[in-house]
Amino acid sequence: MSLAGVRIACFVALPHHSRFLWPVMERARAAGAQTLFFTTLSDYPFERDVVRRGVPCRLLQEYADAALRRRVAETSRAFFREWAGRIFEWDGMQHWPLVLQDSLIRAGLEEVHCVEAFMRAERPDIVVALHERNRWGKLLGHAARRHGAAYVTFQEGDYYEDRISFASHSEYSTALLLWGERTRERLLRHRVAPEKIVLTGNTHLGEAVRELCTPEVRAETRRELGIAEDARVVLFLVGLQWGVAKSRELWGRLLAGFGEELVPLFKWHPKVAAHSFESDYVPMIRELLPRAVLVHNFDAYPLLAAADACVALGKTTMAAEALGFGRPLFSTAGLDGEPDHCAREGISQPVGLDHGWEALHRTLAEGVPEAVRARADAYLDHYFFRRNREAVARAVAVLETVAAARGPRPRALPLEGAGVPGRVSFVLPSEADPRALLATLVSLAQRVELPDWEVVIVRTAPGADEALRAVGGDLRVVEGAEGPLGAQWNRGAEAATGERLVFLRPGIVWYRTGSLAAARGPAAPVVRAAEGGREWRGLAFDFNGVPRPAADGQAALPGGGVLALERALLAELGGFDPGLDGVLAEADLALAAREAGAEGSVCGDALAVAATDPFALDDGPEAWRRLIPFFARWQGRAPKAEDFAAHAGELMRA
Amino acid sequence: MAEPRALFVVGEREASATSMRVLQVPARLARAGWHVDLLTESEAVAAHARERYGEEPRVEVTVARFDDRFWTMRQRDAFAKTFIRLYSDLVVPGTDMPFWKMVAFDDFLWHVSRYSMARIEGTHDAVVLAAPSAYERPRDQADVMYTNAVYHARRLGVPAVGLQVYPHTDLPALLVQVLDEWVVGDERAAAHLIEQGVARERVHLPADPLERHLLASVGDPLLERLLDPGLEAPDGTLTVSLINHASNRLQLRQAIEAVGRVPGDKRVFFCFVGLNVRELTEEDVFEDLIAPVLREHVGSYYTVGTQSMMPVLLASDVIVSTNYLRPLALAARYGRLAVVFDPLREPVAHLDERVRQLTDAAELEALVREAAARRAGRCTLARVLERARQRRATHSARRVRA
Repeated sequence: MSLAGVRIACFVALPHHSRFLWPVMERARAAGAQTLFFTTLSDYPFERDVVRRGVPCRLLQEYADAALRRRVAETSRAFFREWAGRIFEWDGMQHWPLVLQDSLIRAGLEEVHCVEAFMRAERPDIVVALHERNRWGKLLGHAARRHGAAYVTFQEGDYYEDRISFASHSEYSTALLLWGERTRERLLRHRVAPEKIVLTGNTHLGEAVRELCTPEVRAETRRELGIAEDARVVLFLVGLQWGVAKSRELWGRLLAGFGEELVPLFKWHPKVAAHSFESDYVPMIRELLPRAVLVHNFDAYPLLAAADACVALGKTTMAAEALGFGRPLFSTAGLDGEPDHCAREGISQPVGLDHGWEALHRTLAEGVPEAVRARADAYLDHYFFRRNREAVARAVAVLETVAAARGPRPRALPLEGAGVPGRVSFVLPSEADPRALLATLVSLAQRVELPDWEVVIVRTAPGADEALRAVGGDLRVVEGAEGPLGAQWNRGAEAATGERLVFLRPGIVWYRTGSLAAARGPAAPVVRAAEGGREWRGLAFDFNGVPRPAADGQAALPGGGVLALERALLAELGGFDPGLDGVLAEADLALAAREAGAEGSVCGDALAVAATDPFALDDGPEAWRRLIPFFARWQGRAPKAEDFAAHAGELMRA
Repeated sequence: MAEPRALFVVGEREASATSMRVLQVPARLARAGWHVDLLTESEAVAAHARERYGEEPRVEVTVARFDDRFWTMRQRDAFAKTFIRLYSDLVVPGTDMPFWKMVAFDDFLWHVSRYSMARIEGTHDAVVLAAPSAYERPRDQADVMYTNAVYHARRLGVPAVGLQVYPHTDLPALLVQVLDEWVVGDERAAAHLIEQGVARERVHLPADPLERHLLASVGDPLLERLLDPGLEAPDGTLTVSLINHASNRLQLRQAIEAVGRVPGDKRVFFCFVGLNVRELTEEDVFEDLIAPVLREHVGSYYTVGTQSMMPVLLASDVIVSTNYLRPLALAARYGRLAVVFDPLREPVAHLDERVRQLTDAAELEALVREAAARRAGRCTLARVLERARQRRATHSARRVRA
């Protein structure tokens, strides 16, 4: 695969966020992509980071012309007229100050039109942004969907607590690149689409550790900070809650007993204003710890390299990253009454306030206690996929896969002939569970009452032979192909002779054919789960744009474990995409059929029972390769649900 | 009936933008019969106001108190969930973008202010805000204070009135729509607000340049001299200045008679110009020949020396001189009716067109009558509040009946 000629537009914002995107974009450019960086005009000059790297940066507002300005004015007038009444529906809105609110909303109303103009002008194939959970993430995602551009997003930082915004993390994304299993688990609890998740690792940290963990960088950083080379440096990673704490008494209690032999180095939270940092915090900390070195606008990662130990004050993404740099980690809880996140995880030793500094001094003298080291190791494995070693390469592989899928739909099945008139072929892969296969075969033998039908089995696992020996009749067995379900069904279709083909999977227990054999275009039966009483009638697309079991009357497409269509139509479409797996292979074909003019249907008089879940996913680390192409291909053309409250369900409970 | 009570809200940035002039507004309201609670987030502004209003029982100064609270993620999340539930139906006009997606998770959730202000207590008949700027945004606490004031007005069902202290282009679009009434500094600002959808009858331009000056962010040294409350005429009282002349006594008498014929309350200033003729001073001549005419036709009057003439002219509704003087043009530029009245001489062809030249006393009388009528119906800050209050009361009564 290649990125040659692929137009990738990368939205940049705060530097400590864009750091995750730079290594990926640089590698993509080296792989032939036409990269374009863009941002928006904001009080914080987002473009500064890009310009300092010597790369041109477009601003969304550059795309405004007279017509756009008029649209913005009309939108603003109409919106604020309505909004002025709506804000009084809820007293809680008075906590969102009006002038600040006005400024944020106005920026959004301008940007919604500017993003549209940007997309029209630049026509990117792929839009890259850090994440969807803010104004720009949603505006870009929405526009990408409107314009059929793929949308690749990442993890914002450490996700150390639940947030309702996680439930919309994969709404528009074609692929969502995460740091590791730990984040994946949290996001799945928030109904993020597992089909869209790719575990890559932290795309900045792996490179940063390699580049910065050297004696030269350590020495140079210390020189720059005026710290002696042989000094013992403890880096305080000041989270936001501590970063705005002005109480000298509180800081005094925290730092009491820190000791005078160590050099405390404070990296203050960037959200604190520069003036406030200089006037409120620097003098106070220096008064408490005269040797203290305080930095604010300083790249945090060379500091990690220069430090001997790190202390996380409250929640901060940098705590886990400090572990990634191999630094002993200590921590103090934030000031919101929540427990100390790192200590609770067992990856840090608590210090300060109620704990004092003995653990720090002991560790610097004797090393990290074995139990803590073991927990930190396990944590890092869980937290950073393959310890970030492949993060950038995997991210670029995602871009390549997405770019490849945006081309013409593969025509993998050169079917010839119209098939035997009146004959129906049931096509299924054998898969690995002989009992499921047997159940399907037996049900077909018992329940299909068609005048002329056959079964074609694609042998994809050796265990199938056992089941096949147990059944007789008109079975044809062909050897499986390389690839996921789409490829197996294609192989079966090649061998099938029927005029109409029914594709299904082991575990589907046939109950009633009804009008399925005679339906025009793609069709599916009603499918009932063997356990739990769930029933679906085709496929409906959820908030994430992923096909899911459809309730009665809500089907957007046929499918959901069984898909029937005419041989001629399958030939016209070129067969299933041999790279797609599971229900996505069905949905891909049904969408292609619909675009070719063949509307699908669900036959209410046809029934199958699913003993295994056709929607179940292989969650292996490479499964994404068989799923992501679907979203890249159908971005903007497949439907999606808009009801977030329904999607989030009980997560929406306050 | 109890005297009406207004909440006057002003932040430090807005007070500073007007060089503290806007703090004079409560005084004017107090003189018009309002009791005013002045609320600010700034100790400095409060100190300034207390110094000014120490002796004024109708103005009470309060500094808003805030709690600095750290909202936990759970609390912020709960806010976002309610936001989504309430506003998921709203789509950005002219697009297909759901509004909540744009703001709920970041612009709203992370900008729920960490400052929490105690609910404003008491009953007010109007809430007046020195409107902050969208570009020179108020500090967080001031923004919270303004927001609370707007919700306070809404809870009480009383009008919220915005005073335009920054250029109208800087007014936050949301505030433009949220406030019930606007007091602006010039016609262009009024036109702008009307174009933004504010009803014409809710946009007010004070007739008195001094009132407009109190809201202006650029000072005017001349108007600054009018800040002496002694120069302020009671509402409904016409102020007329007559300017002396060495020899035009006939014209002056006719002018005084014309002014005297206009009914209604009047305050008349007679301005000396610094004359001495041989052994006679200007006052000697005035006492013997002009003062009796004034007493006969207008009753009481004030005399003004040359040093105070300019502020008096600017505080007048009508200025009558029997010859052209440069201050007439200046006063006319500030919206005053400046007249050269001389029945003995033809008008001069090339004179500042803002200065009226009259030769007919009846015409002068008619002009003064018009000025008196204008004065009676003119827009003032106090009237804006009173009318807004009445309109709201009528509206509420209608709603009750309905």
